[in-house]
This record gives sequence, structure tokens and C-alpha cells, in this order.
Amino acid sequence: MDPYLVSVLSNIGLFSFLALSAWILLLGGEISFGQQAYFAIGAYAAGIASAVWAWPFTAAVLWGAVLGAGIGALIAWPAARFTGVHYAIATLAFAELTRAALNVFHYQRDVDGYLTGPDGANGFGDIRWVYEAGIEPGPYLAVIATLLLAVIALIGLAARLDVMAQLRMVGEDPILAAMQGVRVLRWKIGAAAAAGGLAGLGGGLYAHFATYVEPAQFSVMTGVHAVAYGLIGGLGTALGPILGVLIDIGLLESLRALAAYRMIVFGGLVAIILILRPRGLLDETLVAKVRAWARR
Amino acid sequence: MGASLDITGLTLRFGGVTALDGLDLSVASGTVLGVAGPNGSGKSSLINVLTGHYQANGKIALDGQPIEHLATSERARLGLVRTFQTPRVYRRMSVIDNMRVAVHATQAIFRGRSDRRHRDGRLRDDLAIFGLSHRADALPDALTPYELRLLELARAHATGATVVLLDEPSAGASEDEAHRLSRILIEHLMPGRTVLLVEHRLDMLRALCADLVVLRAGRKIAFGSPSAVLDSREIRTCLMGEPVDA
Repeated sequence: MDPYLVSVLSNIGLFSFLALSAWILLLGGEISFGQQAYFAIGAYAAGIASAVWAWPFTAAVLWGAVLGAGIGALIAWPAARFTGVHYAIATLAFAELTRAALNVFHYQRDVDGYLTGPDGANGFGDIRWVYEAGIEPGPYLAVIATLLLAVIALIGLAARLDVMAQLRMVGEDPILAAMQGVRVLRWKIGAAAAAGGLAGLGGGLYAHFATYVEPAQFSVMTGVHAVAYGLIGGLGTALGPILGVLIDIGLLESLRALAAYRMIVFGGLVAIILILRPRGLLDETLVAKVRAWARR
Repeated sequence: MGASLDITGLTLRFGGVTALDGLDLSVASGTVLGVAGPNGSGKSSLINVLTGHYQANGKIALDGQPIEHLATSERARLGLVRTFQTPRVYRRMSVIDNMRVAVHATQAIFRGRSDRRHRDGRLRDDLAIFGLSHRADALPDALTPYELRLLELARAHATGATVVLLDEPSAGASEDEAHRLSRILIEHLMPGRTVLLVEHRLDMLRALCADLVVLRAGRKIAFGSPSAVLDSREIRTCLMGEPVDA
């Protein structure tokens, strides 16, 4: 496969984890501008585990996801008591704190004669496990795609077991949900843990794909994009945020003629879609219609 | 199926306004208690306190067990369910999904597929009882206000609630719709359940309630059988205003 295409598809896959992370919180009725923090936490944690501690890749990536989930739940425990704009600001503040902390985070150890590990604002390079294991970009893309499909399948299973429905209850009307017996705070914390875990998983995969990460990559704009993916792709199904990533990275960033105008076109696109379809292209109404049609 | 509901010394204040003022009430298991009163007398506050949406002083017991310290969701899990003056449903879910999530909210997540299918069949039966089968796959925005009311009642019925708090079920209904609602309540929702019926229509209160309590400024000013209570000229004046002489 064309190396450029492999790289674009890998990016689409990797940012799909971040988009799904923000989407889960959107279902629960909250906008988080801070999911890039968990992406960063997953990237740094998995990178340190494989590059500094010489853990195997699987354990390193899993560790990034677990840490993302744990910190997601920990932050949500106080933050989930906020709603709306207060929640958005709280998540944004946490993400900026994380980025600022990574800017002064030095943890370098001697690995085979080289100082390896995060070096503050200079970033964290030599996350080389995948390359040293001789895994080419093509097969690594297959790893990303497999994990993404597994996540989508898991979300599909959760939907069948009415887990997603309860989250949607909380998202649409938390007062009614509570009066129907839904433990709203637990669901919000659970959603934040799942979202943190997904972003952490994506971050760990990203660090091993890029081999180099730095705090500046995890800026507010990354988080804003993550939210926008769900909002333009649609909140009705897990395929919505992935459609959003496809539109942004697949279309705007990758078509070289458009690349220079990407932010302008993307911003305009978000505005137009939010006016015409406030819950995105694949919204709940469309999904309900498709379901009713499929049942016939 | 019903559970008794006992309220002792319930007091709720919003700043300087006293919405409920040391209210005592008892609803025996499986009976219907009507609640009437002018606007601002505390009827809706009472429902909001019972569900735990407002925190008030005083005691609330469900089947003898104190519940005033429980969160809203835990009270719902004990079978305490309410309807709203303006029907409240999930606008982004179809009618059948609204039924499904209400029933599943309190139940274990991990169930077999046949179990779920069986439940879906039962939910469609429930919709049929309330005359909504043809609307099962519609979104709530396509429903008339009366149909939304029926959906709320069908939902309360399907959850197997033991205590149902009805907040003005006839609000916005035509004369004919109010009659049909009364019949549905008597035939399907009320049997075996403990019901608190907040209502303005005196004919509905007469037809549906064993006992009637009249509130004014958060206090009980009358209690007894609906006919006895509503025979009092003073109470009728309180509820309907001064009669105008021709």
C-alpha cells in the first residue's frame, strides 16, 4: 500500500479513539474540551513503559488505557457534579494543567547508552518498540484498525445491553432519568472512565506510531477537534465520530489542495452542520428511522 | 402490589416562602388519595419532595420504611414513580424505546437475548392497553399531547411501580380526553397500586379517589371522602373562587 495512504489511514484510526472518547461524554450530555489530556497521558505512560521500562508493547498500551480510565474517573468524581459550561471549563482546565505539567516533566533513564524518556517541552522521542520489533507501518495500521473495530463492537454490545441507552437517558434528561431509577452520578463517572480509557488507548497507539510526542501536540485545539468530530459526524451511532474524523483528516487534511485552508473549511463545515443538523449527520432521528426500517 | 405511603411533619421552605408547612398524610396500600388545592398550595412541591427532587424536613415512609434520606434514583428503585404536569419523555427516543429504557433502568444489565425479546413483547402489549401500539416506532414529537400523556401512564404501568404520583394528568386535556383518561386510570393503572392524584378537575377527583385532601399554603385544610369534602361551600370557594351571582 502507498506509504502516504497508510499514514493517513493510521491517523484516521488513531484520532477515532479520541473522537469516540469525546462522543461518549457527549452522549452523557457533557462537552469535554479536555480529552486530549487522556490521549497525552496514554501516550506518555505507554511510551515510558515500552521505551524506558522495556515493557512489551501490549502491556505498555494497556497500561496507558488503564491509567487514562483511572484518571478519567478520578477527575470526574468531583467534575461530574458540574454540568454544561462549568463541566466544559473544568475539563479544559484539567487538560491545560496536564499539558503544563508535561512541559516540566523530566524522567530520563539510561537505555542502551542513550538518555531516554520525557524531557519537558523538548518532548519524548525514541519510542521505538514497534520499529525495533520490525513491524512495518502496514501491519501496524492493521493493529490500529483491529483495536478500533474491537472498540466499536464493544460499544455495539453495550448498546444491545441497554448500557448506551441509560447513558443517553442521563444525557437527555438527568432529572427524569434519576426519577426512573438511573444512578446519574455513577453513569457520569463511568462514562468519564470509559472515555479516558479510550483516549488513553489511542494515545498509547499514537506514541508508538509517531515514535515522538511533545506536550504541544496535546493542545486545546486537539480537544476541540475531538468534540467537533462527534458533533459533525453525528451522535446517533459510534460511526458518527469516525465519520467526523474521516471528513476532517481523510478529506480536508489529506487533499493537498485543501490542506492550507483546512481550519477555515473545517470551521465553516462545523458551523453549517450544527445549523442544519444540530446532532450531526448520523443523528438519533436518522438512526431510529434506519432501525425501524430494518425491523420491517 | 401497592405499598403504603406515610408522610409526617413535611416542611419545605424556599427562602421566605413556605411551600409545605408540617404536612401529615397517609395513603393506605392500594388506595387512591386525591390532592386538590389552589395554585401555589404545595401540590407539586409535595410530589417533588416525595421523589427526592426537593429536600424537605420531615419523615416519609414507604411501606413503613423511611425513605426521606434516599436519593431520587433509589426511591424510584423502590417502586415510587411519578408523571409530570407537562409530559416528560426522551424526545430523541422512539415510543417503544422510552418504554424500554424506563423498565430497564432499574434492572440488571446482563440479560439473555430471549429475555429481552420477551420483555419487548410485553412492552408492546402494554402500549396496546394504553392505545399506543400504532405509535410504537414513532418519535415523541409526532405524538399529540394526549398521546404523550398516555405514554407517561403506559411507562409508569410497565415499570411495575407500586406507588404512582400523578401530577394533574388531565392538564391540557379536552372534556372527552379527560373522561377517557379516567377510564384508563381506573381500569389499568390504579388497580393494586397506591396512587397520589393531584388534580384540578373535581369530577375526576370524585370519580377516582377514595379520600381527598385539600391543601392551602402547604397545610391540610380538609380531608375526607371526596363527596363530603367537596360539599363544603368553603372548600369549593377555595378551589374554584367566589361564585359570581347572576
